[in-house]
Amino acid sequence: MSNSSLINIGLSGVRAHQQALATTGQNITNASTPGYSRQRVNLEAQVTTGAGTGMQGVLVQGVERIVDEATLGQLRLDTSSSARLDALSEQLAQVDLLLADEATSLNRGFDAFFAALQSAASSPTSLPGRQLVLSEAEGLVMRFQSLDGRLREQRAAVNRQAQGEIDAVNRLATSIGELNARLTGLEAQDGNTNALLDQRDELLRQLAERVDVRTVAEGKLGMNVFVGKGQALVVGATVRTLELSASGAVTVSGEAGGAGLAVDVRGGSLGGLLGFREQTLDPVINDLGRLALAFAGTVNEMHGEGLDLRGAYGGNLFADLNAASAVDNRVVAANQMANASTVTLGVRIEEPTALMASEYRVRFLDVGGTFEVRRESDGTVVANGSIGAARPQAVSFDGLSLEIGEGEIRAGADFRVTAAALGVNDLGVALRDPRDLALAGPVAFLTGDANQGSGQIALSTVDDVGTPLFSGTGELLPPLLVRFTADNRYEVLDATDRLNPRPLNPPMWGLPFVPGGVQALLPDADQQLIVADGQDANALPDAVATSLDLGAVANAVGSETLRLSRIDPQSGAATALGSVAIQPGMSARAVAAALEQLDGVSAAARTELTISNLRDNGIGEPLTVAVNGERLVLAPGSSLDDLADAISASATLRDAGIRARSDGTTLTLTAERGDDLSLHVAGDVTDGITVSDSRGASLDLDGAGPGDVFATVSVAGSVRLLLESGLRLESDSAVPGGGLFSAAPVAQPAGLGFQAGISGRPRAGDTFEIRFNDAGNLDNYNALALAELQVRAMLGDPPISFSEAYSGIVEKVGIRTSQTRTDAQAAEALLQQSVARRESVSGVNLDEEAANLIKFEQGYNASARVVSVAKEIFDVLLGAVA
Amino acid sequence: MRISTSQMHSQSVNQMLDLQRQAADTQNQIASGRKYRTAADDPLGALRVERLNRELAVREQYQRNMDLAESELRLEEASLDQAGNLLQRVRELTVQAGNPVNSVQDRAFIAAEIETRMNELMALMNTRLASGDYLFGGNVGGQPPFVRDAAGAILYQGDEGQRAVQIDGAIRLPVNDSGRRLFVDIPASRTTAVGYAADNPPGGSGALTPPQVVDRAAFEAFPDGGVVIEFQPLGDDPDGLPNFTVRRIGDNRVVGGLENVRFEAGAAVTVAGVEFAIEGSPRAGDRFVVEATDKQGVLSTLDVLIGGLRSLPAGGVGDDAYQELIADSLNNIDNAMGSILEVRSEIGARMGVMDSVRGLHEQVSELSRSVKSGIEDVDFAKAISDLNQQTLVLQAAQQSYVRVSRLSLFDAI
Repeated sequence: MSNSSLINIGLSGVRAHQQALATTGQNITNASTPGYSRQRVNLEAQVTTGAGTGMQGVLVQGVERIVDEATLGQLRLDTSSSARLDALSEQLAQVDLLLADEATSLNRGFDAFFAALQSAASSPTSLPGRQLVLSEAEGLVMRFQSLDGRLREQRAAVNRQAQGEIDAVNRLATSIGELNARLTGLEAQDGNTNALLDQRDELLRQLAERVDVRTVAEGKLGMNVFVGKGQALVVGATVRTLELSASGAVTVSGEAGGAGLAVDVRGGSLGGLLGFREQTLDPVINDLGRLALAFAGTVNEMHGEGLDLRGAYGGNLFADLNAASAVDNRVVAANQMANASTVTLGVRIEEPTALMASEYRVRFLDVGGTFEVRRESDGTVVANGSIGAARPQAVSFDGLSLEIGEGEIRAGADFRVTAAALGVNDLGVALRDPRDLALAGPVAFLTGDANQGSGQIALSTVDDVGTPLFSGTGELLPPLLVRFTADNRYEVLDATDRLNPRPLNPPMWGLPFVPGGVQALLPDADQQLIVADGQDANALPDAVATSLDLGAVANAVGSETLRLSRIDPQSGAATALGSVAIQPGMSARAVAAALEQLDGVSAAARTELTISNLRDNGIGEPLTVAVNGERLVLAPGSSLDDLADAISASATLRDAGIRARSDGTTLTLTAERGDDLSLHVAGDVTDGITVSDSRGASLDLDGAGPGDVFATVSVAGSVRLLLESGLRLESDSAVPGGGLFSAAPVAQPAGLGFQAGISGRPRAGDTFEIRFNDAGNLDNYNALALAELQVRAMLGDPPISFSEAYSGIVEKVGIRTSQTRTDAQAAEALLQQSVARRESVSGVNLDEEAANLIKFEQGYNASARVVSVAKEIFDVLLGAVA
Repeated sequence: MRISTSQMHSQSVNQMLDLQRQAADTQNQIASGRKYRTAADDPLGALRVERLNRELAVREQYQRNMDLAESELRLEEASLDQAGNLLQRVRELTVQAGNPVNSVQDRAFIAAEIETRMNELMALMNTRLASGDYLFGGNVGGQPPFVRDAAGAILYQGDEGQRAVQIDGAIRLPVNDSGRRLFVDIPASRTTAVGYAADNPPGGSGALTPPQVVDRAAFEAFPDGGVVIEFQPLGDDPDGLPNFTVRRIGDNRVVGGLENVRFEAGAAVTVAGVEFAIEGSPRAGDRFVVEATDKQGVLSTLDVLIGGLRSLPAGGVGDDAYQELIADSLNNIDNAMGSILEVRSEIGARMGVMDSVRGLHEQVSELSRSVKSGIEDVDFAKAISDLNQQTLVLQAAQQSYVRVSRLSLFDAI
């Protein structure tokens, strides 16, 4: 062993410990540096393999950075997740606070509006009371607008913030790219890379705060960074940039100016902001807009059913939702093809309460107009088909109607329908004059002056003022007269001339009345009315039958089978419900009774014919007329009036419900319950009468001289049916007009547009007039109906009230905020654990470093001592030699 | 586990921040008196409170509606009370008039007082609400419900509308009764005749005098459904003068041969025992209706009574007619008072409904308020003890942090 080797050993120790002390110093000074990883000098005993001891001292292998890549990866994940939830929670808290503020609460506005309506209902002629309704409507609109405005401000702020985050991401990505380049260079030169690696890890951590990143190591020191679903952000030294498009989506720049790729950012504060915008802010804006549309549309519809102080139907209380500009604005082009298409599109609000809080996409798949409408909130296709060349066309879905006008459609054209989002925009108060507030109902009821009974009629509901009845100004078309033809049966007539009422078209006779409680006076809005008198079924036969007695004669009704089925409104499929077979010669009364047995059908029957041209030569055989076997011999020189009086005087006929009415030229004979009317006529050959049916076909019944030889005819009546909606009646009648019914009986809407309730006990002959309510300024029917909207559940399915809908929005945001707050706390705890784990591996502990300082100082001192010992040995040796 | 120095510091600081936040929350609750500020703090509770708020608001509105309804019903009741008193006085006068010792002069005095009372009654029947609308016109508030036309007949210009206010989710309380029901549709002691103009277009000035039954026997055959007097074209008269035809309403048959009768203003026309006249100058196409009815308005009853008191001769056959008039009138006045009493008892029933509904609203509102308070109000005892606990823990954390962070090996080197 040479002495120089001892010196070298000592020197290596001095150098190594110097390095260790320097590293400890570095650790101590960087104890608070963010992202700094503690370093450690790796020492190794140096030996040679040649002759001799081979001991060479200590060698500094390198300065190691103490890191655990897995821990760093976990830290980045937890950072992303926590940053996302923090951003989300912070934004949600703002919406939550906004909606919770009683001062801006919509429900306060609803309450105030309905309270004003209630007050107006109590005093309908008070102008200040009416003005208050308008003011509160304004107030409500302002509440809607203020909420919507604040939400849109927040949306703009979120977008600005997202842009800031994207700028930061791009800066960080650029720095990472630069570090990658320098590290690759250093790797080649074998330089110390610890500081640069720490720096890059810290940059990655900052990047993870903004977006969710995935990293893949490249080579020894390179690091590639990916975002979204694997789109590259940094590859080696190449860096792409993120951009926020005009529509608010995030894209990453493509290869050399290629089109940007959409990036689905889920994590980091950027992910939080975007998620908030898409899952909370936009839906809440849509919810509010939909509520605004539904409310304004419903109120407008109902307001139009009332009368204002001037006696005119109510106009729009809130601005017309289907004004031309609003209809156009609801559709915007979403792609290049849509921009290039010249087709005009618009969206109308058809059924306000059926609206959904969603955007829609309308895609035209080819030039032929094959289209598809998708609801964006849940991805359901709500309408599809092909519009073809015939325009304009309308497509209905979710209470909306898409109007497709003229113009070219490009294949692939894609349009957005933003009806709900624009809802608050379309909201405004249209009514200015408090006199125009329609608080009264449109009809008034007048009990006949000479009524014997105690019947009373009052308005129940107004369903539809679009019916012909309400198409006039200042009058009903026609005014109506309800007349009781028996204590338990009534008819509704056209009372244009009140003293000479005429049948309505379609006629409404034979309506049953059951005393007790309040009964609906008219058919319901959705019922269908069928009146069957056959094409010719109750018509008169060609030849007059003769008879030697007054026995019954058969009518001309043929056989047929009637089938009732229910039609499915969606599929149009028919389900058979039952059938009725009609025998030849059956009376209308019997047919009605049979039909009445079917569920969903109410039937009545009545027979009517007219007699005119009474001929009596006044000598020889007296003119004899028998009505349903009741023989009436007329004195010479009798008139139709006398015949009518004779019929009226017959108790038998009266009990059978047969009435006669003559105005001197025509005698109308009515069988109230639809029995056949058979007439027998005897007399001189010049004696006779002319019989006409309800459609004007007529027939002479003449006498045949002495002896009871009768000319006779039997007339069948009409059947009036009320069918529930969705039912269909068909007849198998082979011969047109062979039966009472035509093959496909025409069902007309039976509702007149309103419903009234009749109570008490009317008596036969009692009348009630139904007139336009032009003088009833104290009537508050419509005010009460409008005020009832406060509690009426009618929005969506299952239906809820407007207030509940708003509470639902507040609740939804509240629950989400509270949940996010909890999630954010959990993520924060996880992040703390990850940070602790990283700190535990890479963090600097000053006590540890202090101990190291002592240890390395001692090592240094001892190594120096080795050198001095070597010197001393050498000196001793030199001394010995010298 | 190894702990880094900065970790030790940040952990302690985080813990202290957390404790401070908790204490601040509790302090906020105590200061505001509410357990939470937004729906996020207690979503379910907030939803329930919101529902309760809606319910309280609606009930408060019902209470206000009842206050308004009550004032209208009280006004109606007061008016009806007064009307009843007037009729009572008229009844006494009528009884007094029935005394056979009365001279024609006495009858005239009585007639004069009854007329005064009748005018008072008519003014009462045209009572106005605070809003200026007429109380007894049904839904027609803009014109006085009871007026006298040119021929002296009483017209009812209102309708039969009954206004209601919502006093509960399911209850609409009527707040008025039409003058027709109260004062017009009153059962008459005997069938009488009533007449009116049938929606004649403006232009003509014809008016029908109140029809009188002059021949009870002939009246038995009065046509069901009534008769219409229709003015015919001037050309139907040989001299081109106004003329009319009387027809049955049911079938348009001419009655009693009264076809193209030349018109003379004020001349009595008799149809089936009913006598009436037409005043003024009607135009061709104008129509007047005369019907038989079992009802007679209270003002018509008094008109007939006053007319009889003034015109019927005393003694002989006149006495029979006079006693009949007194008996009929008493009967009709009683019926009128009955009608008023009936409505007054209905008003009483409505007030009763209102009282019980009001009580219910108050009870339920009280309950809602206490439930609401339970959800959203702070339990101060608990909150203050929480705050004490939290500040104590915070203090301990701060002290221990200072203690622990002061230890360093460097101090010993």
